[in-house]
Amino acid sequence: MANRLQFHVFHLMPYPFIPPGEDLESTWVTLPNTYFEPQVAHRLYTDNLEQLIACERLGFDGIIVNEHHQNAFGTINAPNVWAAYLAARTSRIRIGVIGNALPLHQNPLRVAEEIAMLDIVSGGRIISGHVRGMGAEYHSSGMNPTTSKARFWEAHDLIVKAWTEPGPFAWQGEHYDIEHVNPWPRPLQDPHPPVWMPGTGSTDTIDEVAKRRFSYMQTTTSNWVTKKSFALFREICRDKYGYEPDPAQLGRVIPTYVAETDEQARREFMPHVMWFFRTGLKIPMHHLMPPGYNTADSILRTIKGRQAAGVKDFWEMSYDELIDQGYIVVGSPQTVIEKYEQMIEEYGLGMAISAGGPLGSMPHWMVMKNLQIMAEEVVPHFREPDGRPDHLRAARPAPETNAEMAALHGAPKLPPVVRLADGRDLPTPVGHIPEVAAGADTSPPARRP
Amino acid sequence: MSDVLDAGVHWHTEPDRIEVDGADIAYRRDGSGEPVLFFHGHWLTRCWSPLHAAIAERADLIAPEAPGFGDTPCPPWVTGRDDVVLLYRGLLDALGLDSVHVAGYGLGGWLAADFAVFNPHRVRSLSLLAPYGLRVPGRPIADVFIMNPADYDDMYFNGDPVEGAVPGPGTPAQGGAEGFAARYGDMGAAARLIWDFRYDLKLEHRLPRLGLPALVVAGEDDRIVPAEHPARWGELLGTGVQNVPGGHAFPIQRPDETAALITTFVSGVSHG
Repeated sequence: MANRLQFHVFHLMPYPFIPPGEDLESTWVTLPNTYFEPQVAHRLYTDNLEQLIACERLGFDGIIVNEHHQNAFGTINAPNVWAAYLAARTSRIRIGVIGNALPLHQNPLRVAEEIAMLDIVSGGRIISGHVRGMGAEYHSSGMNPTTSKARFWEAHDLIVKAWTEPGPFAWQGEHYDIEHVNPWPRPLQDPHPPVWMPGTGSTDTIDEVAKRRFSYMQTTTSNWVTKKSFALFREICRDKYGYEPDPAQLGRVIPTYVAETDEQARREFMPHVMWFFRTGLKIPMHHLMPPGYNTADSILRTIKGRQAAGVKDFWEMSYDELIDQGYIVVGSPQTVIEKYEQMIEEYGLGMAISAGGPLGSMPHWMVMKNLQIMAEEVVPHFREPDGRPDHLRAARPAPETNAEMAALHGAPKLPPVVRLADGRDLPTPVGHIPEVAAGADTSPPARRP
Repeated sequence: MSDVLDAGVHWHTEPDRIEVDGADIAYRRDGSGEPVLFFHGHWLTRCWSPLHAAIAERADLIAPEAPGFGDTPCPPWVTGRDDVVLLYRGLLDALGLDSVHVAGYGLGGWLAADFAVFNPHRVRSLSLLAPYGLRVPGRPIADVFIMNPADYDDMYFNGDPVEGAVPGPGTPAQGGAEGFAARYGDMGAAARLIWDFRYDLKLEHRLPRLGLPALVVAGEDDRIVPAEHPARWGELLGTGVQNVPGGHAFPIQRPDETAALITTFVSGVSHG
């Protein structure tokens, strides 16, 4: 029994208190951080986190954070920190870090370790997204864009191997040379947390994701680009790798706003959508595409493809264009249900991401309104009769209580011990009890007579 | 050949090709007299510019294109400046040249210095035009990798552009997708060599020990390479700095004047 569509709420945690995009060269890289007021951000982040936490009680499938650097569009630079906070404040909902920008970090094992730690502490609720990082972030980090793609795939392969193969082992790659790979802890989910990879539709990315049977997440694009990408994904799964993809392998970021009526929804969403596309996504080519991030040939194909298809930059699109071309969904519950039904029918959408919840400069009350109407009037339409998210029907990967742990697992395989002078091993949990330790010589072997 | 390579470039000429260590190196050569090996910087590839032509009037000018730039494909094993320097040494072998005068502009000046450091006996003299490669505290070289192409006229030419010198200026819509992609490709090749560090601190130790005749040339008001850089090169190489009117693009803005400095210097060195 699985629901027809999963709903994940995605928070970028934008900092919207900046001048209009038209007055800025970019909201990335060079936008002075003097616009950032820490006191304001304290309230903003508290609201943001409460919105995500509320999603569990409302009944969503997952809550998602991501990594971006030095911009106003999305200010989560350390998503694993936020995920730890969310893990502590929730108990069952899935938590996605979509994703960690692997090549932006010197040591990929840090990501393997943090995700494993989060997976353990959250009780196996983590989804691990792996991304390259926006081109702009190479300007901001000093990391080399010309090796980023190669480093991304090598880092990814290293992380998955670190999660799944017994350590220690040596990793001697093109970009990483780590002689002793042996991360503690290992993740709770078996064989490892689900991996999602976002893309804009490039064949290379889709092929790599299909090959590994991971979930593909189409980033903000139009309906027809999404349709094309999903068709390509299914075709590659079937023809090249010989399997039928699970619907949960096909996700799409589709910012959605639902309100009492179509008109009311359009009115309320408009300014915040326009902030998101006009200002949040104001990122000129010389910030977006550092040299070597793509090849000259691929940039030429992209430019020509966009020109031929008449694709505009985000900040040049009108509200109606965004709605008509399916970049966003806005309307009454009935309208939103119909749009999602269309996406399922036309291209097999399995996961709606950013489906309700925050976008751009939306105030807290409006996010909560969107979430509540979405949860109560849209989500149930796509659920099994019990109305539950899939994860509430699935077996948990770890016992939730000490009693359950003791009943199911008994004690850990090895007790902690201290070797005594007489060769006995004293179990430390009872080692302080005189009757057990009686006469034990605990002096270190080197000092024993 | 990719579509990118035929991008409409001012002063475009078809290169000659020669195989060096398994790499297919594009180069252009003209003139007679003392051999001068000229290294381009992060731009001005695919062409025989007025500067090239002016030098070739009084010298045998050989202008290779580094891997990934212009018409030279990048073998997968070229990942750093040392690989380029080795290829350039191989080029001299392939052309049957024992030693040459080496000159370079911007990043090419840095490569010229690297070439001399590792192959001093193959270098008769060193001519550096607004060279990259040093760190001058508080005076970084402008970050050309993030520069808005709309600012090129101002930053390179100080508001006095030379028509057509920059392929595909501005956005793809303004300059043509091919020109834009060609420049993006050259920038990527440059980034492969100098993104990680925009300077090499070892040059401070190495340059004073070169013991080669050197010429340092600067634009009078260079908005890319601050004047402190050529000044420091001059100090380290034991020579002064020759100024040419113009901005960072002075070799294009004043090709004859720039070429005369180089050829006069080369001629002075060769006639002792």
